Amino acid sequence: MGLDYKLVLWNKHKKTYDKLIALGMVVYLVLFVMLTLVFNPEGTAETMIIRAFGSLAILMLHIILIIGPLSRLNPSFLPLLYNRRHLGVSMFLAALIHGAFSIIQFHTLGNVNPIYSIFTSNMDYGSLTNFPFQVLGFLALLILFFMASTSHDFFLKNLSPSVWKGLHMMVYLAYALILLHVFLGAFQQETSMATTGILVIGFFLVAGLHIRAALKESKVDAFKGEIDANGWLKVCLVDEIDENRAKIFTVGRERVAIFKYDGKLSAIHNVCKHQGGPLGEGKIVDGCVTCPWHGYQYLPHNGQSPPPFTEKVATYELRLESGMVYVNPRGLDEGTEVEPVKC
Amino acid sequence: MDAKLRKRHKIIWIVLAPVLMVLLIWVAKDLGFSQNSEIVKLETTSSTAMAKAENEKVSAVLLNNQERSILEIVVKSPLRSTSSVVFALTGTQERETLLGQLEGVGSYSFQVEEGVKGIIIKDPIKKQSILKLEF
Repeated sequence: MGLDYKLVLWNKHKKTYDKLIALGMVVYLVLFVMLTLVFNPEGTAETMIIRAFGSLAILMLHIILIIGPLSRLNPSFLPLLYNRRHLGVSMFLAALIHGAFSIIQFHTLGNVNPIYSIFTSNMDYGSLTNFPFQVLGFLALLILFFMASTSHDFFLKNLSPSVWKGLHMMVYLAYALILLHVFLGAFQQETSMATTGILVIGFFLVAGLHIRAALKESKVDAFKGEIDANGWLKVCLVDEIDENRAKIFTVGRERVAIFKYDGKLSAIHNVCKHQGGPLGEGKIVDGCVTCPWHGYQYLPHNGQSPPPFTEKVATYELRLESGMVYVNPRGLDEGTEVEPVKC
Repeated sequence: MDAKLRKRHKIIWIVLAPVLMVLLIWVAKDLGFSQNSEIVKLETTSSTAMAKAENEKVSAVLLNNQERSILEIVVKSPLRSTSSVVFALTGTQERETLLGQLEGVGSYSFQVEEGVKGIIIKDPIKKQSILKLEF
């Protein structure tokens, strides 16, 4: 939780995941270099570095992009989501090395500014096979730089989770630019059915998972419950909610998570104040609703983070009749105390 | 994510997926996967060497049999370029005709039109000529 800001909020799990990320990157690079030396020994070291880090960044970007939808489709992937930010920054570093070496190799030997040279060395913008693909890669790198540099909780807090998340959706634009960068660049020079096929499969995987997850979310959003005479929404039987877990319902345009714990029921807004994580997919830990994304905690009866933290979410009134749970669709102010319903 | 972000997310992917798919197909259809397989099996015994040119790195021989002209290129030592694409030079204006890519040391054969005057190897990434051989 963000009471103050530290450069990196390390914990045991984060350290383990970061070691795995570093190890994975090193293994990939070593394998790439070895295979290149075997199959293409006449290549230069600069070319090898450019290709190794470029392909590594693309591989990591694909992994990053599928973690989100995978977590929404299957909660067992949530630990990966928890550590995605470091993977993103590592991916940016790989892309930066690729970009820096490419600029050094292709644009520093002339008499113009290397950045200016990226945009002007090839002006064939109307061509398909000779399109200045490096421009696309450069723009994607700028987006990744922006994202990596604003990935810290300081920016999240000051920009607001909604704005921050919206800005970080620019990664999809970066992904599109990178795919076109590769198809208009590397594949035009060295056409290979294998590498092209791998990237096409990667694209279908990323796009397919995102669309599938979005459709699943749409189903939840389309929930239309029965409204009783008092305007309360009939949602489910109390037995349908597992102990220390929640069920999520769409109430109006918002999602509400109804938690069952210690023989009681409480309802809070489903959106975590940190990064908009789905609180209803988390569980009650030490008496607190714990966000599955980054572990932010809230008390179920008042939606307040336990002291000294200050985050608050809206709460909702509940009623229990003959084992049926009803929720008042009119949410209360964030942090408002609501007497839990005994069940 | 709140309802607004979920909706934005869904719209992004419903738009991005087909647009990107169309763009990739559009680009990929011109990739020429068969370009490197255009290396032609040549019955050298029935062919006649019409012209030859070489330097320390590359040799080029223009062979002719009754059916077609074949340009045989042998890369003897690494060209040390990011990418090497070979073009045939034809006619008095030395018009450049794309033959294919040279991926390293080895022998390459390309079927060519008549009137080849030489070859030029270029690095399309750096926009540089690597070498030129004239018959």
